[in-house]
Amino acid sequence: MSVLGYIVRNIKHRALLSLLTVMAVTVTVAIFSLLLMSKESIEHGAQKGYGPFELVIGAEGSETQLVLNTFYRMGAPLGNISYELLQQVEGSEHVDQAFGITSGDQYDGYPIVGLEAAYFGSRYEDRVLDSGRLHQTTGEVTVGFTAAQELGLKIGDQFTGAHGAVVGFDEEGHTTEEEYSSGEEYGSGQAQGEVHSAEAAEHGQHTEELHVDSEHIEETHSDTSDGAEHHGAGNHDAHHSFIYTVVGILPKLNSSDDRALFTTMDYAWAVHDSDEAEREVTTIIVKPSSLLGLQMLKQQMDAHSGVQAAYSSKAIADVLNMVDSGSQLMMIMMAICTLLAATSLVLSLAAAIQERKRDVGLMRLVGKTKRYILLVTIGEGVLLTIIGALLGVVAGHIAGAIISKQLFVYAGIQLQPWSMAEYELLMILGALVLGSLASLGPAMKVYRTDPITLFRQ
Amino acid sequence: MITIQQLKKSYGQQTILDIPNWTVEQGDQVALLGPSGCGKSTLLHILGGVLTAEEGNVIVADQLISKMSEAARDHYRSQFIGYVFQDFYLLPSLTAKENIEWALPNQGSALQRRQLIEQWFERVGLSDQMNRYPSQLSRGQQQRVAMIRALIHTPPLVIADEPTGSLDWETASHIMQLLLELSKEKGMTLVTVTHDLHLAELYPTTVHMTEINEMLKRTAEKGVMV
Repeated sequence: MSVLGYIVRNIKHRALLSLLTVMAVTVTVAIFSLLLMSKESIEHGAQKGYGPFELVIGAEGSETQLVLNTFYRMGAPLGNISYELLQQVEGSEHVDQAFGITSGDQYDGYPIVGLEAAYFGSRYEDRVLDSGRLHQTTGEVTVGFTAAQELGLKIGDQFTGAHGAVVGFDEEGHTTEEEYSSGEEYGSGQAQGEVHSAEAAEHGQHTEELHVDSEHIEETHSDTSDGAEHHGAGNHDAHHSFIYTVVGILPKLNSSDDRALFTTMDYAWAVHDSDEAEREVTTIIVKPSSLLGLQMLKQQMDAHSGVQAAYSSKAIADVLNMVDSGSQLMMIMMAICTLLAATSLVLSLAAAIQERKRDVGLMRLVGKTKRYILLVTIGEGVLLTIIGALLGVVAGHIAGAIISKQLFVYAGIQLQPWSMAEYELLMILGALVLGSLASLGPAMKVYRTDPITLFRQ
Repeated sequence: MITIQQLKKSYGQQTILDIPNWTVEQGDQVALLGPSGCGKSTLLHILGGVLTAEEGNVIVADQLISKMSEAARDHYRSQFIGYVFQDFYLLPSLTAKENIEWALPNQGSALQRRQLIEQWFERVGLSDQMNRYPSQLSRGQQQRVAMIRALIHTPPLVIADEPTGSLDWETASHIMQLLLELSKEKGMTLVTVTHDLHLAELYPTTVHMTEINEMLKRTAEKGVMV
């Protein structure tokens, strides 16, 4: 009988204890695997998230917030900047390409982004549309791959958007603040305002239900200064009378663009009936002509009142540092998990070897070699670890596949469940070393014991 | 077959064995008798190459085991010795047949080994029990399986340490007779330790430890003197 055959029989003989040992290793490795996958996906997504657009120009505030909102559509936008600034940037000698972005409306929870179609050629180069064509005129929409799947949109479909308001309430529950539509986003407001926004998002297609919320929105508009009252009710009507038509579906781009609906930049002005003087954009993304140009442009923009320019790479690096800090905390937790799994493994193997002291004594008496005895005793732990580690990797990836869609929809993290993360092989190797070490101690101890003593015990 | 010269074995300060000279011929069947603590099992384990003595030579089947390294003694046990124990020591995770396959040295083809195992099971009357686990066998059946394990590779020397100690007398008698028959059939030398004088009478040769162990003689003389 081969060593492996004997080990397998022993494992089967102690099925429950073996199963528990394998499960301890499996769970630990699966969590590790998922963590590594997530970390890699976040880093990968963050690094490729801004494409060639090294500079983001927007309203003053947090640079990180500006960049995250622009490229990942996370959090609330900071506010708006004038359309004239976009024209000025476009005409700058330091700029290779610049695109203005208007945002603030959504359809069923997915953001409607006003962004000229040339952006896709600039960022994704030769990618071919999944179907249809890119948007060209006001009201035409190119839908991100995931958004199209989740919303069931196809070419020719029409829908109306819903307005998003970031509102706050004072203690009496009255609206105290509201931001202009093109700088607003759902789900990022405060307290009651957020609830209303979420409801509006959820029922974006249903006019009647939306009407309840839009009354509130209407009210908030009326509180805005400088003529907001003028288009408050008008906004409400405009949102429901402005028809979007799907003309194209993007391919899967593995970026936050998969979760958005793109239309022409002027949609916000059309929806809100803004005249030329009132036209604003939320942000401007810039592909600089040179490194020097990048710095010059940033300085120029920062000099404008109420305007800031942020380096995309720096903001992303800040985020990654935060992710790393979070990961380190997770790693500490995982180290504790690993310690528990290793303890479980050591106890299980020690118990197994204790149970088999007589077997080891017998092996020595029938003349089995030292190599054979050590292979049998250590091999069991190693085999259990291998089984646990492989099952853990598979379980981690299956879990990744199961949650990847929802994770992307809700958090924008694009897991790659069917590819090995960078340190995954190292993790498997580490598990094997741990399993071997856990087995080696008890095995050596029992081997060194006189066989007669083993029998007496 | 067995030659012992000037053998001395101690545990700490206490000398257990002092055998100036003892020989056993090839094919002999010897019952070793003696009270507890007289060194019977220690002598068996020295013959089996499990224990080593401080002094003297032990030669078994032309092998000078007293000078062997640990690895050489492992090999010696696998080729030259068959062990039968009081408590059988079958591996619980393997069936009766697998217990034999596991212990059988890797000689001949797989088919030859399988046929050999089946012949032995048939010989001891356990053909229909080969695929049962030890826990599913009676104690007598377990000892018969353990006997197959000890004898199947036809070692020159079979060592049995109280092989019937945990069996009822009728079964013990049957097992002891079977052990004698099988070792005789294959021309193996058999040295058995037993407390049971009736079972010892089944053996052609009976040796009391006091006859060969000078230490016991000295202790007895001291006892008389006291």
